Parts: sequence; C-alpha cells; structure tokens
Amino acid sequence: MKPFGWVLRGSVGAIGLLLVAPTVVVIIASFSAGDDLQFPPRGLSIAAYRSVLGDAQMWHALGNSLWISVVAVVVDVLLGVPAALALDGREPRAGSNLIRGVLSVPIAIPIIVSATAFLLVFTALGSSQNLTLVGFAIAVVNLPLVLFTTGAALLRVDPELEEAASTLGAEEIQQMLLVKLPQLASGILTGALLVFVLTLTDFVVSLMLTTSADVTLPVYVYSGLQVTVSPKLGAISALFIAVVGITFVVILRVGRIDRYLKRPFP
Amino acid sequence: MTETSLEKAGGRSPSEIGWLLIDAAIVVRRRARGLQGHAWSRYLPALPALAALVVLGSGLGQLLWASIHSFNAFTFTSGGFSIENFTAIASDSYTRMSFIRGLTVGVAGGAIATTVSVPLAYVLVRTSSAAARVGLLVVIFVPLLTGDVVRGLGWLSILGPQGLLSLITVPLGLGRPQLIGTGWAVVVGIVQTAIPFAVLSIVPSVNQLDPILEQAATTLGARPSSVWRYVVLPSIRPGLATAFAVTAALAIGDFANPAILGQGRFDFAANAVESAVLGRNNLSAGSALSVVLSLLEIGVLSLILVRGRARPQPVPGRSGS
Repeated sequence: MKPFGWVLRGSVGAIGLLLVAPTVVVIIASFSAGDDLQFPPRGLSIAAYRSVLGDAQMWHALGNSLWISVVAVVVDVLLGVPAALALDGREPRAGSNLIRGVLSVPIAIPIIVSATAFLLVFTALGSSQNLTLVGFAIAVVNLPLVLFTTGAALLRVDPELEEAASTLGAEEIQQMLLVKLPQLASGILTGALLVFVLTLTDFVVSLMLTTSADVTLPVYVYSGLQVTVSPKLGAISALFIAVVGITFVVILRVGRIDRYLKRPFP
Repeated sequence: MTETSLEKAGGRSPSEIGWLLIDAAIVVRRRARGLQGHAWSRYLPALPALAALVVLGSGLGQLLWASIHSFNAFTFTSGGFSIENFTAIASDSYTRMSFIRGLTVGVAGGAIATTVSVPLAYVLVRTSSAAARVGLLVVIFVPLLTGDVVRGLGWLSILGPQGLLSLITVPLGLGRPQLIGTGWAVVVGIVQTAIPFAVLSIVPSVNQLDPILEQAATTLGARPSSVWRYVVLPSIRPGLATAFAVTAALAIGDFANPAILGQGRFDFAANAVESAVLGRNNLSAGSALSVVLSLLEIGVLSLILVRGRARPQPVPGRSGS
C-alpha cells in the first residue's frame, strides 16, 4: 500500500502529540521541585515521591480504591461472563436483543445520573457510604464493557472444537469449562483488566457515593488540586499512569486488541 | 493413581479436586434438566446481571418519584406531588445556563472530536506498521484509562497560568494563559475524553471501505482531496454519525471536565446535579435535573443517529464532464 500523504501523517502526528501531552506533563510535574507546579520547573526533585510515601491519607485512599476495584472485577466477571454466554452473538433473537438493551442502559444515561440513582438506593437500604457497594455500583456501570469483550471473544470460538469434545464423550459442562472458556480467556481477562483500571481511576461514582472520611484515590487527588496543582499530586498521578501502562501492555500482549477494531462498538 | 496412594499423600491432588467439582456440576446440571425446554431458559445465565440492573433500575425509579415531589429544604422532608422541581430548573439562571453550556459546548466538543478522529481511525485501520498501530492505540486510550482526574491535572499543568503553554504565550507578549475556568479549557478536556469513543465508532466503517475504491479513484485522476471528499467521507458516513451521537451525548452529560477544568465557573447540568444532591442535600432538585439531563442525552443520541443514517450520495461531477 502507498504510504499516507504528508497531510494525513502530519495531522495524525499533531493530534497524537496533543493527546499524549497531559500524561507526559503530569510525569514532568511529579519530578518538579517546590510546592506548586510552574513552567519552567524550579528544578528536579523526588521530594514529591517521598512526601507521597509518608502520606497516611494517601495510603488509606489507595487501599479504598484497590478494594472497590477488586469488588468491581469480581462482580463484573461473575455477572458479565455468564450473561455474555447466554447472549451469544451468533444467533441474535428477540430475547437476547431485549436483555442486551437492558444491560446497556448504563451507557445511555449520564454517569452522574447512575451514581445519583445508586445513592438513592443505598440510602434507602440504610447502607450508604459502604465501599463494597461503591464497587458494586461501578461494576454495574461498567458491565456492558465485559459483555463487549467477552462477546467479541465468543465470535472467535471454534464450534468444531466443542463438537469434537462432544464426540469424544465430554459432558456439556466439560465442553463449557474445558473447551469453551479457555478460548474466551483472553476476552474475559481484557474485560477484567479494563474494569480494574476504570474502577481504580473512577472519579464521578466514588465522588457521589463516598464520604470525606473514606475517599478513593482519584477523589483525594481532586480535593488536593482544588487547593493547588502540586508535584505531590503529580506523583500520585504517575502511579495511576504506571498501573494503566502496565495493564495496557498486558492487554496488548494477551488481548489481541486488533479484534476489537473489527467489531462495531458497543 | 489409586485411592490408597492418594491417602498416603495426605489428600487429593488439585487436578482430582477439579474433576470432582466438574462431576458434581454435571450431576447438578442433570437434576436441573427439568427446568430446560422453556424458550427463555437459555437466558438463565443472564439473570444475575439483570438482577444487578434491577438495583440501578429501582434507583432510577426512586429518582423519577423524587423529581415529581416537592422537597422542604428546612426540614429535609419530601412533600406531595409537585412539578416545582422542573419549573425551578427553567426559572433558575444557574441551572438554565448549565444545560445551555452542556448543549452548546457538548455538541461543539462532539463535532471536534469526530472530525479529529477521522484521520486517527483511518490510519489505525490502514497502516501496515504494527508499531504505528500500537503507538496510536496507546496515545488514544492510555489518557482515557488514567481517568478524569489525572487527565485533568495534566491539562491544568498545561493550560494554567504557570503552565507549559505560558512558555509560548509569555515570550509572544500574550501574557499568562487565563483558560482554566472557561469554556475553552472544558472543551479541550471534553474533546480528549471523546476521541477514543469517536475512533471506536468510526473504525468499523473504515474497515468496510475497500481500498480498491480509493485506488480506482486515484487511477482515474482524482486528487487526494477529491478521493476524501467523494469516496472516503461518504462511505464512512454512518460511522461519523455514530461517533458524533456518542461523543455529543457523553459530553452533554459530562461532570469531570467542567468540575476540574471549569473549576465551578463553567458548570454543566451534571455539576448542578452534584451540587443539588451533595451540596444542598436536595434530592428532589437533583432528581429533576437528572431526569431532564437523561432525556436530553437520549434525545440527542437518537436524533443524530436517525438523521445520520446512510443515504445514497449523488454522483459528483456529472455536469462538468
């Protein structure tokens, strides 16, 4: 194929540079000296990282964020994978379209509305400000994502493998657990990793559902940046960027992300 | 392996436990066979997920209920049926403006994100270099995954008065950038948030576009700009419509970018919801705002999706030939 024209290459390069700029700048900010960030930086320093390590509130918020992320992943895998199997895309029917529509509701309404709706439910149950429930709420909001990644993997399952297993005497359960699920593993893992990262970095739902005594890490950074943009907040953000970077490498290696580009979204 | 040798080993091997569990599952499945046969039984595995959605649904129901009941801000009790929460949205200039800002900046942000995503999606699909593809994916999706707060912090460090941008504007005599707290900073944040969704919406259309068509146009003497104008863009029109609908809808309901980059001085409706619910503890007002915002978002989604459906393109250049 003929390489792209310079207009196309130039615009893609410029857009890419703009897209990556905030992430790069945050990392530069984290290594700046002084209490607030300015350009050019006053100097290089790892003081921000030292200060983060000694910040008990930061550790508490990180613990909260990790907990709700684990809850959200467990809930989404346990609910999303069976649902995706039931809705197997190769044979669309009225029933599966209806269920797919219901499960996609969180995409159609603004996230702040979902968060408020959960706040009303949890308050009515008398258990608002429960971190596990925050994880559950984020799981419900992100459920369509797991349906999507698992559904994409389902399209690549080879039905002949199950037929062969059946011919060799495998029960339906064995076909499911030992033949079908292993083929879905990369799709499920991709979905689980995405949910983990999106919950770890979730801002809106946790802002609505947590108390000031039990914030998550993004909310902690948010309350900090309302005071000043400090290198310390940059250091915490660099942690997020590192986690996301590692996750992205894993997804690229195991997830064969190209396949998602071949399928309409959502 | 015999029973005795296992007992000598002090228990069962992990693989044997696995097989026992599978055997148990097979027994359960056989017993449950009576449930099968009904047409809807195949959807049983989706039941837990649907139950989780019922929780959200009941919250949305409560939200609708609260929105049409009055609320006493002094006693924190709700009163009888009333549409005062909705009339208050229209009469209050802050909430009215929050919707107008969301609509205008949201639609503009969606349009910019869609435009900018066309070259990204095109190169992402057509490039033969794996490195370029991975690089593009990282550049598009990593900022999305690092979350609203990290991305917001990055833009604050660029667009703020002391930010990276001041390195350019100050020597040029433009002074320190005063973008934070204005619609300009919010639009920048919104466009970046929207680009990944726009790219994902456009990519399937580019996938369906056969490169042969473009080659044919080029062979017949079309310039690159004409190829884009008459071949590429009309062919990916459904993808563009989806991208615009999804990104505009997302932007209209955005909370994080107005909160972080607008700093409370350029609030959208979602920020009005938060300040009603958390700031004033007025669930009825927050609910009414939520209802209007949801209807607006669904309305914009369906309007753009219906209007943007693929339609036959007139053949260009007939009169000139």
